[in-house]
Amino acid sequence: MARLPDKSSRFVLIATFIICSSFLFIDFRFGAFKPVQNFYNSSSIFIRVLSTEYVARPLYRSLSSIWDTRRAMEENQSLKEELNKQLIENFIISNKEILNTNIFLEVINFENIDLKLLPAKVVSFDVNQYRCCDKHRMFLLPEVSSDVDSFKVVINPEGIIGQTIKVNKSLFEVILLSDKSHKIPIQNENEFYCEASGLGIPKKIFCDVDLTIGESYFELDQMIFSSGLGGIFPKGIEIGSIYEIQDLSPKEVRIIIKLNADPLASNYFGVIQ
Amino acid sequence: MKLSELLFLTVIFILLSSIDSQLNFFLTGFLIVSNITYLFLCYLCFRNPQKINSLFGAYIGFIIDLHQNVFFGLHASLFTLTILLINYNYFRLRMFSTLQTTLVFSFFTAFFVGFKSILLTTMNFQYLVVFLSFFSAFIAYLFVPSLGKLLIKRTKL
Repeated sequence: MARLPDKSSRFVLIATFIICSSFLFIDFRFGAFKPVQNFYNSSSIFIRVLSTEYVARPLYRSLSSIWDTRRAMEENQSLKEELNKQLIENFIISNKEILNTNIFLEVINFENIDLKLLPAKVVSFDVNQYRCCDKHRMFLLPEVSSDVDSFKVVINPEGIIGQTIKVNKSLFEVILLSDKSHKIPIQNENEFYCEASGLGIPKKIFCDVDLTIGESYFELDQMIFSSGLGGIFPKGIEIGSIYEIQDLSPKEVRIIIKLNADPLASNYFGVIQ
Repeated sequence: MKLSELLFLTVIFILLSSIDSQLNFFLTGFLIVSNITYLFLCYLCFRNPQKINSLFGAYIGFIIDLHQNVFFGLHASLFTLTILLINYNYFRLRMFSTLQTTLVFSFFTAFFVGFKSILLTTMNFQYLVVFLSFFSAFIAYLFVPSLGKLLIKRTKL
């Protein structure tokens, strides 16, 4: 048996590895450490927001006022936010009948507690993980103090982005449509229905179609809409278009759909309450 | 290990993990994964296996798991496994030339990247990423010892 340089026994080395592996298995299989990670994430975001809002930003503002740029930058920022709000409103107007006839009237008044659309800003989005891995999540902070429950639809000016997962009272996580564990019921104009899953690649979802079940009509670049089944997403919203059709077997094909909405397009989102 | 050394190394590892994330942001398109954190751990363990033991590996691994928001225990398991392997082959590795040591750690890195990819990018696993990470690790490890010496200059590691 190999001689060890360390005075600690082989038992400690192997036992530590086994314990760590058990932790990994438990988290991978059952997600048992999700609360720990949520706590760490919410704490780090809280500290970051606090330090940004009360330390970094005031310091930065006081410095920038020396060069008289503060007002211009704030104006620029507020114009950007206003533009984003307008773009979201435009999206809602164009889909007004589908989403809810009363939404637009209540969007304008953000102070109103009974908002149908809750504006929210990104506080944390790991773009690196979004581009490299299967887990596509972002953390949003509501602009007005309001409880955001899970399973609410999140939109940006380009369309539906994903749905919410409640973390705590003032913070919520958004699972993007392209996340591996996300599913959305879809349809096309030819009454073809399917439950699409996230592909783990930015702006891509997929749908496996069993050709033996019945006749399905779909082709490349065909528009795909939300079917409204499942009760979370509204019916008839344009999600994207068919990007690729792969043959998995003679009886099964995989449709890859390119999504319209890019979560990187803006920092400002709307949550349909 | 003193508490101050532990805190110092924790900060260094978190910083290196952030640097890795930033580098990966640019390197993803080229199918290359930056692994400075892992190579730094290999270097430290090889330099001082008495202090950089499996418990330290598990501790740093758990911290990085939380920091990177990945499966809890992923880095911890791989770090402890690496430390276990280095400890078991310590005297063999000591007899190796620098080139051979670099090759061994590059192999370790390729395994590390491969295992991580299987769990984190299950649906888009690419062998090319694992293959290229071997070469990127080989090049990175040419600089890691100098970086390591610079970072831990004032500690007794």
